[in-house]
Amino acid sequence: MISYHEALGAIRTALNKMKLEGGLPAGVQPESVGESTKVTSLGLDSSGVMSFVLFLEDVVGVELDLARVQAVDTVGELAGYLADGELLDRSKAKSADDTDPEEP
Amino acid sequence: MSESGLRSLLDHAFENLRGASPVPDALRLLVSSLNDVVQPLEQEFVQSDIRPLCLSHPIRELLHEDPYTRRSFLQPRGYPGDAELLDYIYCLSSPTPLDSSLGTEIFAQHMASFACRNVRRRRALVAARLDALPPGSRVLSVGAGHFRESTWSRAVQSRALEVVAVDQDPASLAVVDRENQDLAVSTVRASVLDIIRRPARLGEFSFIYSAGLFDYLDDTLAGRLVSSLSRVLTAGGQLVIANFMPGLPERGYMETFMEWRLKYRTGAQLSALAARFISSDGFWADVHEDGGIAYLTLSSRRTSG
Repeated sequence: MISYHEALGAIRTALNKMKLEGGLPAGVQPESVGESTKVTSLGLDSSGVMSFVLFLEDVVGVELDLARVQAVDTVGELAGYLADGELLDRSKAKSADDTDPEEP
Repeated sequence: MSESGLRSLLDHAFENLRGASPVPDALRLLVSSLNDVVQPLEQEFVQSDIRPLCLSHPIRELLHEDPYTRRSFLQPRGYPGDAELLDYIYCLSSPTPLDSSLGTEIFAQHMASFACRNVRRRRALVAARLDALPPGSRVLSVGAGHFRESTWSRAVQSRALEVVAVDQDPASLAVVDRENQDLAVSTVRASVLDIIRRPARLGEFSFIYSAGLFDYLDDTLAGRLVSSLSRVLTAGGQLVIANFMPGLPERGYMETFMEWRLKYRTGAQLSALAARFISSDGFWADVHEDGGIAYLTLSSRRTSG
């Protein structure tokens, strides 16, 4: 089990390795990636996401669930998954927030 | 080319397709002009700057009357270049009476394109490789789609080969099962990641090929897949990988109106990629380039016994 901050570091390390191998779009700087960075802003196509999963697995040493990685919105959520093995359930969080107290 | 230049090109093509010029001429000119625009550009730039302009132009509606262009664009299976789309190219599927005459004419013109002709040729080359194998060989088809090589291969049809067709799409595998049920063909559903992680689950094979998958894999994924597949080759076995080469004349049209982006590689690039991930002590490589497609054959140096 790794901590949330270790997970963020692991994500940056994986992105750096990808960058070195030419697998990241030119504009993406791994050192600038933070918890609020949208995963879509990394500019990875479906093949790139699978490569990223492999790089990340090399760093954290466990096999990841591709579908769960694909489901995350931000790098922070991905770190949460790596740290806890659990993704923040955004749909539930959102529906709770969106509940209108006036509605019957 | 400037934005106004591209608009003007599309305006001109639009008028041509609406009757100012015969459809084959109009489409040929559009495909070739778009390619002149796109060939020097990076795919990211085409996607961010060229594609939106093309898709917001009224010509899109005309071009999408063609079922081939439309299916590629809509990606009903969730990914580009699915097996149903290839069935159009293999002439196993065609426009229906519901398709417009313009769409049918555009379709016919595409089927005669360089890319489509060479996809059909690739199928024939793969079938010929299968027919050259010794009887009893175990074959693995990776990214098999509908495994249409089957019908062109005497060896498969005569049950001389035992074939395992692997694909991540269950709908494609259902077609393989249905159309090869009397043959020695079995199917396995597995993603690229599954194969990379656990190739041994598939068994061992004397001939492994992947005809239309590496065009979608970045270098990391492609290299690791080569490495994993090389581990399940028997002594003296061969691994064949096909990949479209840079310079495809239809690239501009594909990346704009079809949402179809490939990872292009020359034979030398394929060979260098494989060399990064597997030891040259274990394999020798042979590259063959044919009709805009590079074929890399890796032959195991191991001998049995």
